[in-house]
Amino acid sequence: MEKEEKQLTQEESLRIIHEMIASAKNDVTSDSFVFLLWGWLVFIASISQFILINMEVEWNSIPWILMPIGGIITAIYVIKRGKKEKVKTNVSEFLKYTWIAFGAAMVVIMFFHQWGSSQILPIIMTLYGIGLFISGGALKFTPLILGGIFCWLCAIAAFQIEGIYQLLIIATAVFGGYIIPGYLLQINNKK
Amino acid sequence: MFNDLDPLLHSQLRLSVMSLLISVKEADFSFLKEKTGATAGNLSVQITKLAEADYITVKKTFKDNYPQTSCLITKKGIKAFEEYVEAIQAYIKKN
Repeated sequence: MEKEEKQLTQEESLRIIHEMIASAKNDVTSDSFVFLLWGWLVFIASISQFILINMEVEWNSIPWILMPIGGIITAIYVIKRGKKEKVKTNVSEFLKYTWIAFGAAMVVIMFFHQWGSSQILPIIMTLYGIGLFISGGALKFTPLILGGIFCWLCAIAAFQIEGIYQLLIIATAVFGGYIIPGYLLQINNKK
Repeated sequence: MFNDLDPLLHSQLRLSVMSLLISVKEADFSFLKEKTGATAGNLSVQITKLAEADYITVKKTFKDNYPQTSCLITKKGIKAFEEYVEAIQAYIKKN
């Protein structure tokens, strides 16, 4: 209780406020695991399907089975991480809702679009861009913002192209939008 | 020299807790303990004082069968904190 007896000066008060706010702010980080997981899963699935189509394999969309697996891994990871989390910040709550909205939009598009439409991959890339751009802005992490812009540019390119080459563009989009910023985030968090 | 300052906030540990809670949405007891460097006993006493004044809300839950205490700042707490900061700023301007 010794601390309580001591009379604070105004400098000390300001220093405490400043230090504690700065210390809490430093805890606003996002770990790279989910970005890297989805980056690599989509990269592998799209390149694999491209190869299978070229090999004229009938069940060429089989690599996309990785997506529900990714969904399960993400759900388990997020729940476990939530249990360990000691603090909820406004930014972390905001990001949680952003990515839930992203997931919901993906489900709507994946399950309710007209099959045979060639526009689905560019639309998905546009959504990637939204999630990455908002996350980058909220975390003040430029590589994610640039990753988001990169996904939108890829979406523009993919809208111009029909057919299987869209798969190569989505692989490029996740490489530039998720994988590279994901590794940079990992390096940044270790600092 | 600080007669007009809120005595509840004008204490090192309580001010630290309030500054942390003003920055985050919700924080565990262990987070506050880690950031303030206080002992569990002292922190617990000061959190109770802040809760009694309705400056913070204390939520007691169970996570994996372990009791867990998390704290949130209230509107009253935010107002008191803002007034405290304004009072300090006014004092600095005067001098």
